[in-house]
Amino acid sequence: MIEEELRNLMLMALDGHAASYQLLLQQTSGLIRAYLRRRLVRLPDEVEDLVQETLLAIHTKRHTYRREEPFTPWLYAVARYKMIDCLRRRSQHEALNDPFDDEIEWLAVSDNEANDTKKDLDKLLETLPENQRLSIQHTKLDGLSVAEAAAITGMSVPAIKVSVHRGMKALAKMWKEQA
Amino acid sequence: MKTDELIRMLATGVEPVQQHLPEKLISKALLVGLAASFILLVVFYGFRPDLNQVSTTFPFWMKLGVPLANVMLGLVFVLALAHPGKIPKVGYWVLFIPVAVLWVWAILSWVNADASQHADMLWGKTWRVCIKNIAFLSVPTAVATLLALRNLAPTQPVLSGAIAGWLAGGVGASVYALHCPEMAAPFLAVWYVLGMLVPTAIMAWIGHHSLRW
Repeated sequence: MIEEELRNLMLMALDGHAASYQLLLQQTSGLIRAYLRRRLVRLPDEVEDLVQETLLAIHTKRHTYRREEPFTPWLYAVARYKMIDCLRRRSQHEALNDPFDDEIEWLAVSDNEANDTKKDLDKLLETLPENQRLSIQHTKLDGLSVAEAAAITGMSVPAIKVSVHRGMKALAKMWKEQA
Repeated sequence: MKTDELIRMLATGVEPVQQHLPEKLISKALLVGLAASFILLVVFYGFRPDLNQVSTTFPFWMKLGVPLANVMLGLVFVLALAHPGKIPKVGYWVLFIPVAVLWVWAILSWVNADASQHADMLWGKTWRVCIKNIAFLSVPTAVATLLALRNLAPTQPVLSGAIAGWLAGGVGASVYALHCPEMAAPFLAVWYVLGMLVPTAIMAWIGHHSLRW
């Protein structure tokens, strides 16, 4: 049963178990991709961007999942919100900028696997303030412990944790604001 | 960055998450808002001098109870809305019960009163300032709950903002009741409800613009 499996992984992840969390995100990314592909048939190039945006949202909003409740309704509610928000932003954008988009869309055939994104998190990372960027680089990309990152940067352990937390929130926000 | 790399990055060194964080954030916001508007009341308006005498009367408790019931109900819905995928156990119509009770009381006292009293029951002596004062006293709670909601995940930003505003209006009105000298039900049914609708409308608009995530 997929719900039971995912929920168990989520409960482990909420207790700080990284391997469970990684497995959870891998499995959910497949579910989200399938969910979005079915619904955004005319926007195949948006799907992977939106998968990543949804993963970031799952991460920064994971405290809004209630442990005693089923996991998949929460997951799909987040994915659905992200999709609707993306369509809302697109329609505002198109209303202002691109009235001909619909008519030329039939020319723009796309059949790649859509594994590439137009937005790039690496570039966003470079724009973060240095303490947030270094904290994320050391603890989330290089896989160092918080204590090791603190030793390298000369920041305190709580300061590293706060910087990672704020940095991830800032990344999710910037990602969304990129048109 | 490929999706797999992003996943590895998110999972690496992931921190444990506190339990019941949304409940803590919202209740803290409510307490801070309530305390702050109480201070505003003391500083700007003061208590009505006959508070002790009226504190045992039915109109006074209606005046206090109806907005407080709005706060309680608003709290239930705001908490549900802050959790993606959570559908409130009861319908949104429940939110209108306190105001409906107030209106029934207002209509009864209206038809039972002599026509010469009607103008006084509706306008009282303070109708000009009532809406403004209630809206003013609801500001701290509105700001505090908005900040809390920004840290949560409301999937319906406009509705979440509106109900948070209704809740804040309830705090403003119940605190203002400690100052306000009016006791007639029709006055409360009109001006108090309008006073609570002002933060509701403003917060719906703010929700549209700043509760997206």
